[in-house]
Amino acid sequence: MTFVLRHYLAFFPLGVLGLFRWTVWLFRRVPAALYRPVDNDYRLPLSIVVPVYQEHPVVFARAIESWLANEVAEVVLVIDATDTACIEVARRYPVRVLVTHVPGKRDALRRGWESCTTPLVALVDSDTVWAANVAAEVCKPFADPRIGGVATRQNVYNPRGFLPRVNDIFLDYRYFDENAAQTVMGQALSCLSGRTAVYRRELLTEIADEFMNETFWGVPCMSGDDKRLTTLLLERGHLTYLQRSARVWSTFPDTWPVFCKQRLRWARNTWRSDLRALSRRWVWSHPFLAFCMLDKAIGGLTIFVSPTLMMLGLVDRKWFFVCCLAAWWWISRAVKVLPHLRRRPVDLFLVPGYVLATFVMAGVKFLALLTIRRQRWLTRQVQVENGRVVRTVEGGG
Amino acid sequence: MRRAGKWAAGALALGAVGLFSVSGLSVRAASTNVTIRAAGVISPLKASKDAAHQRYLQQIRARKLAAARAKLAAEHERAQAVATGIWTREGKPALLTVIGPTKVLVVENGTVLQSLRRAKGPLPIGWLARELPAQWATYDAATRSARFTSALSVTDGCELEAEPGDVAAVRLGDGAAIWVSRGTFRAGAVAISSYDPQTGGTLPVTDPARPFIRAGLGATLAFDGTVIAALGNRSAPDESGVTWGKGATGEASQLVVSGNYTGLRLASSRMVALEDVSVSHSALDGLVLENDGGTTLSGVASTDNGHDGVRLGFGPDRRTLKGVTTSGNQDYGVVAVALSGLTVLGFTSQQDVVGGIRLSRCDRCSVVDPVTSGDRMGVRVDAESHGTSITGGTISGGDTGVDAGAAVSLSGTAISGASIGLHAAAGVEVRADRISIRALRTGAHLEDGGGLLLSGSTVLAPVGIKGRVVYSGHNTVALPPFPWLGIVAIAAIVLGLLLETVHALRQAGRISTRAVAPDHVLNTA
Repeated sequence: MTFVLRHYLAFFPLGVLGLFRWTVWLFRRVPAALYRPVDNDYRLPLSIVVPVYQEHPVVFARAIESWLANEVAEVVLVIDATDTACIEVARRYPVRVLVTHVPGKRDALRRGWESCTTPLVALVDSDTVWAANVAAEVCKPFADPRIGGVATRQNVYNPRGFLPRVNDIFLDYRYFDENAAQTVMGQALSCLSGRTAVYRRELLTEIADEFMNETFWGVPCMSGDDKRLTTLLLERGHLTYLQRSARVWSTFPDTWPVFCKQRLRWARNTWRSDLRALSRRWVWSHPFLAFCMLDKAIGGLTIFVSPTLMMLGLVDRKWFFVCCLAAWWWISRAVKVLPHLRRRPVDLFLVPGYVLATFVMAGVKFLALLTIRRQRWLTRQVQVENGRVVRTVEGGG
Repeated sequence: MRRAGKWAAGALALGAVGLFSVSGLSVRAASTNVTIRAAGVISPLKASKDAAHQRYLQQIRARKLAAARAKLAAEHERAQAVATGIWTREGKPALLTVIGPTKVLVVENGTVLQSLRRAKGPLPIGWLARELPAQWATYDAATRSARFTSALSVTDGCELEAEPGDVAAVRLGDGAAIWVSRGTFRAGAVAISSYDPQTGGTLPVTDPARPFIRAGLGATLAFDGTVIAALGNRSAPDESGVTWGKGATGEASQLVVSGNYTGLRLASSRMVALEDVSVSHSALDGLVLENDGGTTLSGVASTDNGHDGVRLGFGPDRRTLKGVTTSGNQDYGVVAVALSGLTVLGFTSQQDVVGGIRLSRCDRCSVVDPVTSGDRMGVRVDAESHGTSITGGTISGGDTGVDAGAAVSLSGTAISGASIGLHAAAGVEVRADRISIRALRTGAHLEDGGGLLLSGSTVLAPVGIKGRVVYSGHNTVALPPFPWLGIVAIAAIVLGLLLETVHALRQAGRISTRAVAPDHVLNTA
């Protein structure tokens, strides 16, 4: 009976683990399938606040044009004083430009929303292009006075090459699965992505100090502004909503080093925010959100089991097992990203690459956990030194 | 032909020694004459005596010269006789080097051309490559490789050694070989391979004159950390690679052999010890053991050979084969032919194409704790075998776990993942005690007239047992466990598709994004 025992010891846990992961996914997928965006005629005046630093001028100009195509009260661009190229681009459009000498995204955001007067403020990244109906769509969930913030559906701006296309799959997975489920199960999203998130201005003003003075284990936080704003809203009892009918597009890295750095920054932010949230009482009033946070933390570690067994299978030349596992990866992940494959069927052939990218990201996530205290933007020349955000390169443009 | 005239030069030198002795006498005679002249008296009698003395001296001189020449001729004759014997015995190679205790004979087409003096004791093969005529051997100082185009014969009591301090590689050209007869060939951590001067690589397996290493009666072959590649040809079994022939002995440790015609062959050898030996990619079998006595094996791996991994045959009786692993061989991992009382102990076979173990015409042989996986057949017992037993072990995968062409006794063996766990030919009786079979198709298939005596065993398969079976004690014959995980996985996939359909239906009728996206945005689906 030795072989049978060895067989089960080796493969049974993988099966059980897979079963557990699928059950968790179905827990999310069932409510996500029932999601619907809010549909009403509710409108509120809306301002757009955009912190600008080291943006590509062409992308920036296209983004400004897309914001202006929406009916918004005003567009406020808070541009770093060193970024003369973007200041020049901004001057060509009917927008309000605030030039700031203080480095750091958080200060720029605060300056922006403090200068606005409208009840709603959209915090937008400078490389994010809007559809023409975003302003109208994002207002709809605010008909419910409990809603404090609204997220939009995001995709990669004209993806070309492997990484942007894989990122596009990740984004669809997020907005059709995770965020949709969180919206249905308690209207508490784990993060209103900073590429475009709309808030009630009065709430932003209320939480400004806490937002500006966030620290983690004694170190002031520089990145993770979006997750922090979301958490502060939820902590105060407000709700958040994904309005998927509002679509925006953003640029994404197309090289592995930049991709990994960006993921490393996000993963650190997620670890910090989720670990802190899970240690507070408020999160347990949103059980589904807590469940998602736990799942993300556990899933990030259990994901290593499958590639490890694949490696062992390859070394041991267990070709049947290797083929079965590879086929399972392909089929199961394809089912999990079906919303993306429905709109881009050709990406079925990209699924194996997507699977490998998830393993790379799992490694990055683990590294992030090990370096959770480090505060660097990684893809831009700013970092925290002695408790202050500073530019690492002067005169970046 | 760098030193082709060396034999002639030797003869001249020996002649010169004779001449020197004679001229010594001459000088002494001349001195006597001078003394006489000084006295001023030269009588006719004296002169006559002097002349006779001179003739006498000349005669002595001539005799000594003749004796020296005769001795030299006798030596040459003896050397020629030795060389002719070896040359004839070894198939008349065009170029031959005979290594003797104090001399090395350079032989061309059976004729001794030159004799090289060498120091007594082990002869470094690098010295040989440097001293032999270029047509016989060369030495490349840059790569520290000795290349031979002549066959090397190590004669009685001599030792040829290839050690890393002397050479890094020994390369044997077409027609070259190393024959050891009552001598010793010892190799350390050096590479020994065939050599094709045209390609710079090794000679192809189809080359009928590809070099080989062979030890004969009373000879010793010893390898320690040696890497051997692409030796052996199909002309004769003892030219098939590295052979310990009749009465040869020796040892191999940390030896790596690849690409031989037959990897290693022990045929009627005595007391050969193989430890941590790897044999792979042979055209035929990896390791052949035929009537070898006192062989000890430890950590022997035979992989990816053209036929069998290990082939044993024709004696000795009551031997034990252990410490062997095989994988990827095109036929069987181990084949035993015409043996009595063989015990195959702790053998591991993986992905050997035809099967793990085959016992053919064997009598009272045992297979203990075999581990086979991925072979088409785990253990095959041919019809002419008698009294075979299989004890313990695990047999997994393939078409048939155990194929019994003759009566077999199984005890404590686990067979899993095979299409048919146990197959017994017509009229064959199989006894199975405490075995476990998990087969994909049939647990046990017993042909007409065959039967199975099953006791304390478990058989799980879609078709449990086909044929006559007699149960004893508690047995379980049932369907295999339901594949719950697989069914759940399929259900999860179906549920995923269903949920997506529900979602799509609920989203129907939404505003098209294309209508509201800026023109430069392409990713709008």
